[in-house]
Amino acid sequence: MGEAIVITSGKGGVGKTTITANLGISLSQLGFSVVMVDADIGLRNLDLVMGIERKVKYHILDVSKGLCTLEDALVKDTRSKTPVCLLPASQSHFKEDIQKDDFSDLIQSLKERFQYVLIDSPAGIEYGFRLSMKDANQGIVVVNPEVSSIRDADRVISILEQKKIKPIYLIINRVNTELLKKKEIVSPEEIQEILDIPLLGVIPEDYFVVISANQGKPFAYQTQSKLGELFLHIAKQLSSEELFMIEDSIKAESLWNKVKKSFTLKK
Amino acid sequence: MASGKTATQRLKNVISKDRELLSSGSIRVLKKELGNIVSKFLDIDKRKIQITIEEADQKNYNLSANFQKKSKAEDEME
Ligand SMILES: Nc1ncnc2c1ncn2[C@@H]1O[C@H](COP(=O)(O)OP(=O)(O)OP(=O)(O)O)[C@@H](O)[C@H]1O
Ligand SMILES: [Mg+2]
Repeated sequence: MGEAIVITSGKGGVGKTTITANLGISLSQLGFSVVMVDADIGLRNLDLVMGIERKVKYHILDVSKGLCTLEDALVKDTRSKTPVCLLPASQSHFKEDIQKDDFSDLIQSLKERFQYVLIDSPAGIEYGFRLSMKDANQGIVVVNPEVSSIRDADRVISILEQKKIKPIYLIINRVNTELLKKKEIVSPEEIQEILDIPLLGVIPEDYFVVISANQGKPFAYQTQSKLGELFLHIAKQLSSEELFMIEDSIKAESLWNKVKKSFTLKK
Repeated sequence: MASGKTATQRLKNVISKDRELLSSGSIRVLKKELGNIVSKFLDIDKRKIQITIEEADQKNYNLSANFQKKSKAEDEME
């Protein structure tokens, strides 16, 4: 049985889709079988960021309506060692057009077939978000070092906690290193202290993110690049955490210390 | 002061408020209603009520209220 992980944030535009795409690829580079679900129905983007938009034939609503099989709708990206799959959203429907139970059934069958099911949640805390987290066992909350994003993240974390989603990890995205040096942004240490969930990664603001989205060539494929390496590291942390969670919690302690050290975090 | 520090302080304040179970407004209403009921039975100062609400566990809330007796002086005033 695979792990279903919802990638969410409350606030829009903080990097959920970028992180879903590249984390999915990095996990697959590590040899895991991965499927990404674009749960942003009506505002389909994951296919574009992945650069596989031309391969999309069917979408999630075609599957739930029985117009095609799940197999038919999965788009395979073969650039990775282990292929990554995408279940695209529909661009012409609305969030409410998919029934909760149908969505759950889909996630369930994906969990049976893949080791990781990454669910790219829409912004907000309404139906689309609730759908995305409904069947997740783990969560990744994406935040930018910016007051409204941090407050929204806190709200989302409390909703995920109520739904017993555990663990919930934090990824801090778009850290402007210049501003950080000048102390004109909330530092990653402070963000983690405020939100108080384990930190999975800190991603700098980098124009290469935009270039790779423009080209439809996710940076995670360039495992030698700075960003590619960073995401491989994040993927390793995420997957090893899972291994030792089953074994024991003593190792957990030491692993998190390592993660934090690697970002020179205190807490 | 660099604005990062200001942002951190403001966030800590606002988020601890956000996490409270009830808004400060609804706490005020609760105090008022509690005061109205309890004063029918006990001689209390309706302006001096302290209440705390906690989530005890998944199924229960703990509500505790502290009422002060009305002072003699106030009795005479009324
Ligand atoms: N670390 C980064 N550095 C520079 N640009 C970034 C970074 N992360 C994301 N971006 C850019 O920010 C924009 C929003 O990113 P993305 O679409 O991933 O956000 P989102 O949270 O999925 O948005 P939405 O809430 O609309 O779904 C994109 O143009 C993306 O290229
Ligand atoms: Mg998105």
